[in-house]
Amino acid sequence: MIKHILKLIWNRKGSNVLLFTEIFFCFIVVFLVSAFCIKNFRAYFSPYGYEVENLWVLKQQATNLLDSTDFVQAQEMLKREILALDGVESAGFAGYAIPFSGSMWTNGGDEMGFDFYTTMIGGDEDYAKTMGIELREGRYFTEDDYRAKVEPIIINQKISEDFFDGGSMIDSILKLGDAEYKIVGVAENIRYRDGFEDEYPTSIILTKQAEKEAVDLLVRVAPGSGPELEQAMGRVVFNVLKTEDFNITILQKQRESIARDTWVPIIIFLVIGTFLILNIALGLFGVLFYTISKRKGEIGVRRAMGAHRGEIIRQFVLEIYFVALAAMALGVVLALQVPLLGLIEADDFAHSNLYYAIGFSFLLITLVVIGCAYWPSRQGANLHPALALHEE
Amino acid sequence: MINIQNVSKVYRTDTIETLALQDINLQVAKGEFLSIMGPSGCGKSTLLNIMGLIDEPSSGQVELDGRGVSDYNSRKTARFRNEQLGFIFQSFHLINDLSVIDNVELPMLYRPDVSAKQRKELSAEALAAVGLANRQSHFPSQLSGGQRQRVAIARAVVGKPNIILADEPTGNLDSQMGDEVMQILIDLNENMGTTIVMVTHDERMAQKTHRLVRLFDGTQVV
Ligand SMILES: Nc1ncnc2c1ncn2[C@@H]1O[C@H](COP(=O)(O)OP(=O)(O)O)[C@@H](O)[C@H]1O
Ligand SMILES: [Mg+2]
Repeated sequence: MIKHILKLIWNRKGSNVLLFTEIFFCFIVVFLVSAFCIKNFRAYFSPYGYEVENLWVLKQQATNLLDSTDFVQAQEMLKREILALDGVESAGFAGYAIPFSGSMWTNGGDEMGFDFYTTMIGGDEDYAKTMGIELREGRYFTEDDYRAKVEPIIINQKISEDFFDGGSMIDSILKLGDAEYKIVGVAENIRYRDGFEDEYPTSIILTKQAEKEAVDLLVRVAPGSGPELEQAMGRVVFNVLKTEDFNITILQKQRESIARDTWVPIIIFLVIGTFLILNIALGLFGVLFYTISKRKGEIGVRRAMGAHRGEIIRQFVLEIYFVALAAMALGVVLALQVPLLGLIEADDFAHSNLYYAIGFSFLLITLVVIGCAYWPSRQGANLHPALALHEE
Repeated sequence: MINIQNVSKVYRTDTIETLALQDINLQVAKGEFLSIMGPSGCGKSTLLNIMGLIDEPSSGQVELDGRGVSDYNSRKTARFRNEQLGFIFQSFHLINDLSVIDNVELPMLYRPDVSAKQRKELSAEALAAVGLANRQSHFPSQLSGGQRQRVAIARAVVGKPNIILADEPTGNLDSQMGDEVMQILIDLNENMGTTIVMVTHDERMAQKTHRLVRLFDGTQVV
């Protein structure tokens, strides 16, 4: 039967070319849309490496106006008083780049004999702990680290994998420009830009408070904290710094708002993709209805020769699906060139998105084609054989 | 072999009701070659379709091979058509997208117990029997009307049915081709003992069969 169907398809190639072309383009469109969406969805739901919930950032400018000794004292007092509030679990100063603030700082060089780069964030000894950075090995910074001979650094696992052999990195030295850092901790993940980016090689260094490197206070609050705690923090700022000029950013909200910039195109693509699929499905449906109604005589003959309804349905659905299969095979071969030839710059994780997109497109089109083929085929098979022959 | 009892057939459309057959009683014996004649629209095709289980009577009984078939479900009638019946139509009804040999093997395709190799052999045999052994890979459009009808006959006999139902098989053919086709049917009937019911417009063809039945406006007149 399969061979019979393949012969039919081949002999009807004139009319099948159109179907083939339509399904091929449909596959390519679904592939592109789903690759884009899968990439972003997976990135969004892959771990940040820390708890975003219940993290607040307290920003103020007042301490910047102080000279460096007063600055350090005022900062320490502010941190102590904030920590003393009910509902505050921990606090640490953050430098260079606050998560989801849209800014990042990248540093790199070839001092180690190969091109190395990392985005850097800074903080005081409590910063990593307050973020809740999950360490796979090593430790957070401590007070003693300020007096260490070599500056300490916490890296993410990505650095270890991208630039080294992925093994333990504790106590290894990183050279960057004139500076040297000793690795004290390795974080599982650190992502902090907008939730959609692939993870970068990222590291955390200890800020030098006397040089005013970290001004913003990152605060981990108890779950459910709200305006009351904000007001309490405001009173602390006023008592310590004699200013009402400050603001509090809730990181979770900041993240949602910055993510919106990426959600918008994703949703637009999804809507366009869905619309296209619907259109193609409707078109397919119409074409198949037409084709099958043109083949009523054939249906009548087959029925007279002893085909039962199920065999008619099976034949038509398989005929159409095999054409779709051929079109999708071409699509898959083309789509596979992207990761195989490395047409886009991406690592294995990003390439795996392409494989998922190929699989997804294949499944979706299979469903659409079989769905669209089934109803007209069934309609044809339900024709009374005498009538089908009569209408030839 | 075929036993039609009090069969009537009414076609209903939204506007009109056509009485295509009215109280037909007809017996066809095993090995008989029967022809049916009558003016156009008198119900000949309808009667043949009812005998061939591709149409159902509005009332009355149909018995084939001693079995009442009115309670057969669609799967069972399909099976019966496949194994016991061969159809030949005025307009051939070949599938134009299939080669001659693929057209001929069609009935065997719906027999799960026949292998592809057997199908090929049986189809080639049936084609040879109608003198078209060298036309296997042609397409219907490359054949003359007479050749097409011979392909259709090969298709009708490939499954070795007990009954052949032919609806004006020579109606679209010139007289020489018609005679050739008729001769094949006669040989089938004589050599294989196949029961044949043939609708025809041609008195000459009807003369060559064992018995003639005439229909007029849905009723049997002879
Ligand atoms: N499917 C149908 N629907 C409605 N009327 C039909 C149908 N098939 C046949 N008829 C009518 O039934 C009558 C008998 O038709 P048919 O058996 O085809 O005649 P014949 O084969 O003798 O020319 C005709 O009047 C025809 O118009
Ligand atoms: Mg007729």
